[in-house]
Amino acid sequence: MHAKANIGVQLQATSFQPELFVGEIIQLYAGIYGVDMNKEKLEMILTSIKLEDASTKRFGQLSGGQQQRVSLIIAMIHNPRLVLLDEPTSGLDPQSRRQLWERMEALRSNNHAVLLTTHSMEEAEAVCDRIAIIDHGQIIAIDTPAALVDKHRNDPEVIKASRKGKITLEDVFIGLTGRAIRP
Amino acid sequence: MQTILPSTKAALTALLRADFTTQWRNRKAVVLLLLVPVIILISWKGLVDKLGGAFVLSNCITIGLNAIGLMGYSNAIARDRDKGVFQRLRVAPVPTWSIMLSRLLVQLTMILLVTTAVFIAGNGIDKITLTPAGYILGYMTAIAGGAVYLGLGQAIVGLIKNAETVNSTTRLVYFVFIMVGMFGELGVLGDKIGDMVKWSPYGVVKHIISSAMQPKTWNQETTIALFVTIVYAIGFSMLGIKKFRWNAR
Repeated sequence: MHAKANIGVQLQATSFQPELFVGEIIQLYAGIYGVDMNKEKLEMILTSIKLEDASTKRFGQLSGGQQQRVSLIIAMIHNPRLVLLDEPTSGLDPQSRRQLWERMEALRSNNHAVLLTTHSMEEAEAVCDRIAIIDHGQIIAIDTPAALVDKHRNDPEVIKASRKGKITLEDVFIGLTGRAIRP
Repeated sequence: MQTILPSTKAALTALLRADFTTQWRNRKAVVLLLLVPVIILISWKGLVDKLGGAFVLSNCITIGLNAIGLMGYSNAIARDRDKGVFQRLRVAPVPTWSIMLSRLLVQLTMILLVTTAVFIAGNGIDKITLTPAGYILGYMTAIAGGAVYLGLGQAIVGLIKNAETVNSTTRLVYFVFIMVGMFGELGVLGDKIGDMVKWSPYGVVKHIISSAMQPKTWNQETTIALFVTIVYAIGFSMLGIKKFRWNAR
């Protein structure tokens, strides 16, 4: 319970009770995490994620990007030390994705540790300090994005994976984990 | 950054507020659920003189309890599990028992509502009145009977993961229970089926509610029926809890 209280979680496919309004969902999780949430604070939170009018909307009525913003704000509602984000930008348009990246940067600069799982190497490169490549449940490489590329740029499999001559993090990922499509 | 360990009371209060709000937003479904036993009560008006008020009221309450446990509770749990509502709640610092307790308290309210609706309709339409003890014991046995059907609903969502299959299964079980139960109780399905119905989850619940409404008629067979009711409630609940998975994958 102590660990859960220190962690904020945004699941890949977050769903809340469809009958509840966004404001009620935020109040539910504020109550669960023991955070005082009055009307003014709720309005302030919704304004901070540019969803001023969403308080009386149902979660299902929001766009994908708006839903992710609400999910992230709920994950952060208790100001946790560690935030786990499970593919938070999957299915989002580029603008929403960029906005979420900026929010992740803001979290980091506010001394929150962020653990992001993603299949997008572009995203990992853009927002992560350190990257662990996990294959079949095992960490097979861990380092900064630049160091991973530097360390593996001469691996034959990585060179083979390269498409445009320049070695990218995605080439390193494919070189290390193999080209076969995962079941 | 300091750790705030939320109190279980605060978490439970938040869950209850959310679950009761959800139920309120589904009030049309709640009204329809209340209407079923009331409509049966109205249609059985002619049977009150022949079979007695307690017989008619207890059948109607049992049908209402069936609807709560099988149609309301189990389908709501299956839907929320399918949508990942529980998955999200379970990564929060809230004890799992409090998630279920909150849901069950909503259903307890539904049991009291359906029982009250039947009592009011019985009094208004059929002029059936009970002694104060009859009403109190009626409520108490309705809660015990409701536990049987909530347990059965829990067993169904425990054994079946797919929300659609849960929905169709509960409809089937509900239909069988009310059709076989009602007609079996009326004696139109023969002695053998009648005996089976008597000790079925339908029969024992109906029996204890009926006797509770007329405390003077409570006898040894009613006590055995109460015991069987408790066994059904515990058995179904344990099966449902043991087999229940919090996510549908």
